[in-house]
Amino acid sequence: MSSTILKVENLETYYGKVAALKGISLEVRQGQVVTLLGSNGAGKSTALRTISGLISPAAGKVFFCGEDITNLPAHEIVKRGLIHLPEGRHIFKDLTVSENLELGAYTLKDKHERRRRMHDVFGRFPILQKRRHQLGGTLSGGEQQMLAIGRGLMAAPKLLLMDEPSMGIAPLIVRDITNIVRQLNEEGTTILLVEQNANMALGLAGYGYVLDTGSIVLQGEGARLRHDEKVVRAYLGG
Amino acid sequence: MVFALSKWEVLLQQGVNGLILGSFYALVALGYSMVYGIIKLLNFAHGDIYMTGAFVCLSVFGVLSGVLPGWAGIACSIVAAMIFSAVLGWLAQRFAYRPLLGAPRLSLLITAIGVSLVIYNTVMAITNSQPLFFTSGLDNAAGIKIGGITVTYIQLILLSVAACVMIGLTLFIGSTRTGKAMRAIALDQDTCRLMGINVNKVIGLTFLLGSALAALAGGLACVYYGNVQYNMGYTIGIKAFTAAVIGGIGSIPGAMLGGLLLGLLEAVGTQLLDSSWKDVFAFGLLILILILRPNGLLGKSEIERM
Repeated sequence: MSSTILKVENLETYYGKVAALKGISLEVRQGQVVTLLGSNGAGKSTALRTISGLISPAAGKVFFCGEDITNLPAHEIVKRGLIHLPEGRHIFKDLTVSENLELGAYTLKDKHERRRRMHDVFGRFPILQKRRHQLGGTLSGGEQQMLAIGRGLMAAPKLLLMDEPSMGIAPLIVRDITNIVRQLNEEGTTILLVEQNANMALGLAGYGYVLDTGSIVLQGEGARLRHDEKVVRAYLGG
Repeated sequence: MVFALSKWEVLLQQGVNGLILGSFYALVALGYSMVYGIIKLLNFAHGDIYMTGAFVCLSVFGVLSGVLPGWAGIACSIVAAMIFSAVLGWLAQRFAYRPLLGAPRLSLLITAIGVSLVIYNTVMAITNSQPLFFTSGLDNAAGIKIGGITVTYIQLILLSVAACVMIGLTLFIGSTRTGKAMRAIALDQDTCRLMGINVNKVIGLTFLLGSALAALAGGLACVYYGNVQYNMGYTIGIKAFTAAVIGGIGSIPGAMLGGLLLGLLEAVGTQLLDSSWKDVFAFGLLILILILRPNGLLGKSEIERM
């Protein structure tokens, strides 16, 4: 069995006095796609934001590649190869496409390597190359999602946290995004995928967790969750 | 010789004066605009940073006068002023503003007023509220004649320094890695953290830069006007802030444009009406500009594409 890349133990996060995460534990192994499902407000984004260091947890631990990263600032966590693509893409809309990509490799000082990675991203998303001098805010939703993914790839991630990459994207483009995620994984990137679109997520994930009001209520192999009666009823529109 | 100048020459001469004044405004406005752009703070202490720069320049020049007279001494004094003020601005950021970045905007604003009063009153106490005078020993009236107008060497140097600094800053913000990070932080801090940007460090750097520019203006003003007083930062603070808003606050080229425009308007106002009417003239026109372009000349409108 492959090694554990991310291990979360009893993580608790509060917004003021309100508990958003009530002690969740999960694990992602090298090379896997793991999904975190749940309805709106279940705490999925909070989980990712706590893991990537944007929010400090009240209790619990996060280990990345064996190292305790629980109280590291977000910019230090990025240096270790844990890259978080936030919900809603968060493109820098007044910066050009190339500038957005360059910032993705901010921690990388080597200019040549930066250029090489941008070349790779352009190879993967030719539309970004075509639009490289355009401001990020002028791209369509699907293009912005490609830019967000490309910007994440600029950091050469060991683990990619993806928060609802299908949100606000035309259904036809969702299929493209799904293929991109699958391809990234096949090329060796480990992915923790948060989704409301359970159909998409379970089609990709080898393993899944279901989050409900801050607690993990169900977990198992992707294929098993897909046929679980509760999951079908709650998230797959059965 | 004034009687020999034609009306146009007088206007041109005033134009040069306006550019000088505008350069001071622009250099101070840049710091206002950069800080507002990055943390949405109206840094009311910025005018006092300018004043501190003038004082340090004067004091260091006094110490150096036996060793390094003339332009070399002036240059060293101004650099010393820039370093001192940059550190002062950074300290204000680190110990007064940073702890309040998550607090309501108003608390941050009041803190800025507090920092301003602390600097202002400290310098007032040290100098016993007396103005200090700067004598460089250089011939201030020496210069070159172009047509009917005279441009002094001090004016030429001042304008070229201001121009070089503004071009340098534009290049820095536009094309360096740190400059891009500054622009990105102004847009979305959390996402910058996810790019691996140490946001606090870049904010600190913004204060260093903005304060150094204000001190450069202060040092140049000390040399140009020949006197320094604890309250000299007040009026220029308000005018530079106005210039930043006219140009579009948060915009670097906007701050430069707004500063130069305000300086020129004041100079022309002095010429057309009378010096006591120059602010009425200049600010009247500025109100008009804001009515026509509420976000400033180069500011972005808040219409967003979804």
